[in-house]
Amino acid sequence: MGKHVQSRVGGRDIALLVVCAAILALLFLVGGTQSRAPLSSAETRFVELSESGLQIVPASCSSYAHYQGECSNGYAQSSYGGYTQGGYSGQCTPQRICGWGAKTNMVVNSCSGAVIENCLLQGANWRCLGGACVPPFAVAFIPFTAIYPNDEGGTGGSVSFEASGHLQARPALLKQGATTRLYWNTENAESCIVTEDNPDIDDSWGLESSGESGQESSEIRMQTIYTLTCQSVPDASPATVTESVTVNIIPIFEEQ
Amino acid sequence: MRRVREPRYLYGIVTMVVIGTIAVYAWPNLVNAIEYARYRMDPSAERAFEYGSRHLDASEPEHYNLERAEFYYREASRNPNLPYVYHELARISFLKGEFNAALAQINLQISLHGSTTRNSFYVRGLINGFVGDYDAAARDYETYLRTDSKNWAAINDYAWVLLKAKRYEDALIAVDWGLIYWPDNAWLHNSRATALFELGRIEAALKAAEAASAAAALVTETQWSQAYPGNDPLIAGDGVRALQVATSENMHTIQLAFEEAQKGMR
Repeated sequence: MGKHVQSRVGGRDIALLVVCAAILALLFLVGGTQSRAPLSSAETRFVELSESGLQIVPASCSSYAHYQGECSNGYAQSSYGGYTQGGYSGQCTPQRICGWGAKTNMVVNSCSGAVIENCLLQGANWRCLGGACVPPFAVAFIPFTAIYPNDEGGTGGSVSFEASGHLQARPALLKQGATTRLYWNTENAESCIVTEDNPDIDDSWGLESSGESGQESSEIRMQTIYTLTCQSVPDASPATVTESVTVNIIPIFEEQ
Repeated sequence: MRRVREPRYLYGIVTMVVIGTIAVYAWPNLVNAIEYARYRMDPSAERAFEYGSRHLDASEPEHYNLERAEFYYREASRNPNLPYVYHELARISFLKGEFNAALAQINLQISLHGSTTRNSFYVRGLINGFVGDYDAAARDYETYLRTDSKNWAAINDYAWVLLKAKRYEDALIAVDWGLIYWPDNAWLHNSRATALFELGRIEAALKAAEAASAAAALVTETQWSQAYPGNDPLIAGDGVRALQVATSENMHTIQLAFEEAQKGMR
């Protein structure tokens, strides 16, 4: 009888011990992670706004010192040409595209990223455009909307006009001692300068563009020729581009 | 006899629960104390680095502790031959938002081990991007991408700084490249939507934004923690929601612009 009672008590002991152990395990499980407050970082809710206000979300995958390549092995690497997700279905058809990052001057295979052609081998300033190597561009003139102060026959304020990009003087016919404005706008130039041949004045602008308001001349008392000289980037043809515009003075008629 | 023993069991259970609760909540401190004691017995830089790494490991939330990680990495910095010490210190400073310190530490890291720890350039790209030096950040990402050209996070972050530098075409080329390898990546689709929108290609931007939003809805906390290692795993849920909100709001913004453009055409 005594043994029987001891046996019943021992069974209960074990059951209670199991309950206690389970409670403790649960507490350890929960307590291990919940006993501290979450630590927010500079990255957690970080977004940057684009120019139009869209939210750009950076990541930081391989910043980890023990990085194992988790973010480097995309689908195409393991099943090249056969991925079918995210709207990029079917085979990858290789195309010639311009590389990016460190390969901006190279033509690469759009699927594998292999370099097909290194444009820099053609010349120092060759570059990739539309999947082909192209020589350095010559100087070009870019049309733009220019602004001119409306004090010549107008009623005040400013007027705008479409400038061709080539060197223009406005007005090109002046009363003696008046000023004019010079307009120009170029691209692919290494450098540009506008000079004049009038010994009485000293106008000179080393700019690739006059800006929309142009550049105002000094007071002009005799016919003056303004010249725009642009240097092309190395290896481009022609090496220099020159344009001139003449500003004339309205003759003064004296009654006899 | 039974009437006498029943309350004893009850007292026993209550006592164990009380002791257990105290032990559980004191447990992390106890572990840290044991760890510190072991370190003091063998204060090697290697051991310090190992402990530092344990406290910065997102896969072990119970040990995650930036302060302790920083303490051990500083101890480890006594041995400049350990390759990643300043890299990790820079990451901690970065996570804490101390960008000047982070930049100084990552510059030191690159000067010491830059040729072998290429992802230090990635960390410097991140820091430069956060402080708004987008040109410097782009150069760092380009350096990193030379050795890991299909890394979606590096491509996405490269696109981020290109977008901030208003180099939208370049950003688009970068994310299109990344999407060849990661066609379901929410971050890349989101950056693509942004690039297209800034280029005025609103209809294409809308499709990309829809793809981003759909992909973001499937991002798990585990995936988020992988994308942002070093962050506290307890905030992974917050991070996932932030990504989902960003992609969803972008889609809404682009949708409105698309509708406006449609009205204008009518």
